[in-house]
Amino acid sequence: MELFRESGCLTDEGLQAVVDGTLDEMQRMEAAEHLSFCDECLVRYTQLLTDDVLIAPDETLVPSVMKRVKSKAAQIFFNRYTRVAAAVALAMVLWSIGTFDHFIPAEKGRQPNIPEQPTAPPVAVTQQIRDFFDSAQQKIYDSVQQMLTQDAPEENR
Amino acid sequence: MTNEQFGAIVSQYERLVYTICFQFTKDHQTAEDLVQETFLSAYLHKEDCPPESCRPWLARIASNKAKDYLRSAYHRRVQATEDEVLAGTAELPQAQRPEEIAVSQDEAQYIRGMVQALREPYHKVAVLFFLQERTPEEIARVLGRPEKTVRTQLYRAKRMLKEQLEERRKQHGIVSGIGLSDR
Repeated sequence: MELFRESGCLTDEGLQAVVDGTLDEMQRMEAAEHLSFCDECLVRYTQLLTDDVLIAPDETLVPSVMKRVKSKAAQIFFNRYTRVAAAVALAMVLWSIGTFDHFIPAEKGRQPNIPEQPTAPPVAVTQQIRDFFDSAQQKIYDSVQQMLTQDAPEENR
Repeated sequence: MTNEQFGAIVSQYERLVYTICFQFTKDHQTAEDLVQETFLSAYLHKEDCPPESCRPWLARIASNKAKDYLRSAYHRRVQATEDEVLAGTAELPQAQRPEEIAVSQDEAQYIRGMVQALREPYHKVAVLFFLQERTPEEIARVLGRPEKTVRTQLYRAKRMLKEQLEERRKQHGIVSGIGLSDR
């Protein structure tokens, strides 16, 4: 049996052999490689996967799939918020120690003839950052909890 | 797409994805693992799902997962074989001399014939690479295949050619050995 045509696409009997499970491991790998990029053969292959051909696992995989999906979603969400919180905290620290002062034009920045307001002691800045993180942590925790407590969807099988 | 909508897609296409994974791996446990991997990838790239139909899109992801699994199984097997061969040849008293390794005119002609005789999906790739000296990038463009696939197919084509060549050299060695013993 020829698995591939001269054009490089899978033959009809090759695709049928995939469905029938009569190919050896090397041929299955070659067929899977081809289907991973050839739209035409993929459509021909999926057309052979009619309802009477489809098989189901012993137990449905929907709950385990959705558990992993939710866990991944929570991880992505947490990573995103952690990065944002870290960026904001860094910006606040840089602002409080005056890193951005020389980017502000003199006339719009601090006026030399106006007596400067006494700056807040470093303890106050630290407290602000701590409050910010506490608040952000609580929000993230609440969102993750909400996400994880959502029920798995009903199975349509 | 909400988690509920994605869950509905998982329910609807679970059998399709499982069937594809099983048809390629022939193992129920592996197929179940690949179903998980397929839907996880689908979730991470859910914005790429064509709104009109998820079926071919999921079939593509599933066959990709099956391909990755079969490729790594193949490489493990090939690596193990090569390790065995290396272990077997480690105690050879001396390496071949360069003139023994050099490919003769006759052998070069034989290799050209072997390249021409390779079956698809290796034939075109090998002809373009070995006989027309095209780069994998050019071959990928000409044949419309991903460059990584072209490189993988070239690797396997080289391996097939090498095996055939070694077999031929072994046969020649046996013939000359008989000739010497007859003297």
